[in-house]
Amino acid sequence: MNDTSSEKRDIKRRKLRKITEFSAGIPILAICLLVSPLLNGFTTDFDQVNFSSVIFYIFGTWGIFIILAIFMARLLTNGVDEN
Amino acid sequence: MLNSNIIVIICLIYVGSLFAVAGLAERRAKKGKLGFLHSPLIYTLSISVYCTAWTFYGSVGSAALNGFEFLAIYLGPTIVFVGWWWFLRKLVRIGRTQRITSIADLISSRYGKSNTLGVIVTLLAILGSTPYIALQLQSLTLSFAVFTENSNSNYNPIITALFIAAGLALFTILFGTRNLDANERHHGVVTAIALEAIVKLVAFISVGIFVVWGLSDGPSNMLDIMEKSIPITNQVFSSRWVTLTFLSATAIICLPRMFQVIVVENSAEKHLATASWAFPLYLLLMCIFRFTNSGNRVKHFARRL
Repeated sequence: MNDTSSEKRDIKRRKLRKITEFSAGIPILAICLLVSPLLNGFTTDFDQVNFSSVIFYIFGTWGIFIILAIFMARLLTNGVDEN
Repeated sequence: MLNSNIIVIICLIYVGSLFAVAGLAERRAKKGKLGFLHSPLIYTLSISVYCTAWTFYGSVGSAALNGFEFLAIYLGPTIVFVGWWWFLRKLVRIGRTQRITSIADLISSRYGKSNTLGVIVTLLAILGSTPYIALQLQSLTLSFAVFTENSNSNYNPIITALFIAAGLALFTILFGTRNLDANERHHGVVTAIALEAIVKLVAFISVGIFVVWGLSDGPSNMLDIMEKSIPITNQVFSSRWVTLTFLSATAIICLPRMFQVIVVENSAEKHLATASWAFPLYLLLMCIFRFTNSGNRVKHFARRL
């Protein structure tokens, strides 16, 4: 009986560790997509700068990170409760 | 153009309502009826104190002059908040266990609660914040001057700034510095800031909707106008963009008022989890109409009022 409950606790702990490790990737990905030279792809050639595409890229990426943050907040707070 | 007396009355009613809300929240908290005061929504909205008067003037001006650059100021905090688990959560936890009341307290507690270090950090924070407060007072005075420029009354900007500063000081003393207990939250201040956050958001979005659908013929037309009027060069996403993002990411933690609302006023880690997505969402909503509000059409319309 005790073995099963400790096993369950271990599984939960491992699950939480995986979630926290994954959550570390979100700000790193945000830096890569919003701060890195990737953005220069839109403005390297002045004559071909497309205002709309830059706007959609920045706000779209921003929105995706908000959605990701919602999921992570839910997963992480559930994990903390279970722990 | 609106009559200056009407503007003064509207300002006084608004400030009075903030004082009333803060007073009511304090009274409820003292009676132990925390209810919604203890909600993650209030906590998240209070963090929106990051968007100051500068958001209304400086960033709109920056959007008109430098194009995308102002977005970096809001992307930095977004990155910090989406990675809350790894930094902000630990900061809040340290703040609670060490009974931290300010950023000076946090740094000094790292070195055995050194008083000297605490004093040095406090002085540095004052030196750093003074020009910042001056900028806020200037933007408030300027906004008052803009609305009253064609009226007969001649308001002295220095006197206006003095009255605003006195009002702010009174608010701070009444609802802030009276309680310095590390375990006591400033529910009055936090609730007043939360109310102000809603007013700011509604005001900004209303102007944006009015500009996009009222002054121009919808989003596609607005995008065409912005493409012609907003400057965009191949230098936008340069090292300056990276520096601004980094500075804003540090500002969301190091600015004394931000440290106060994020760390000192936090009562549960779960609130931080909600703020991790709700605060970036608030910033996104505050930014989404920034370009439209910075266009020349707003200036033309404002002159016609």
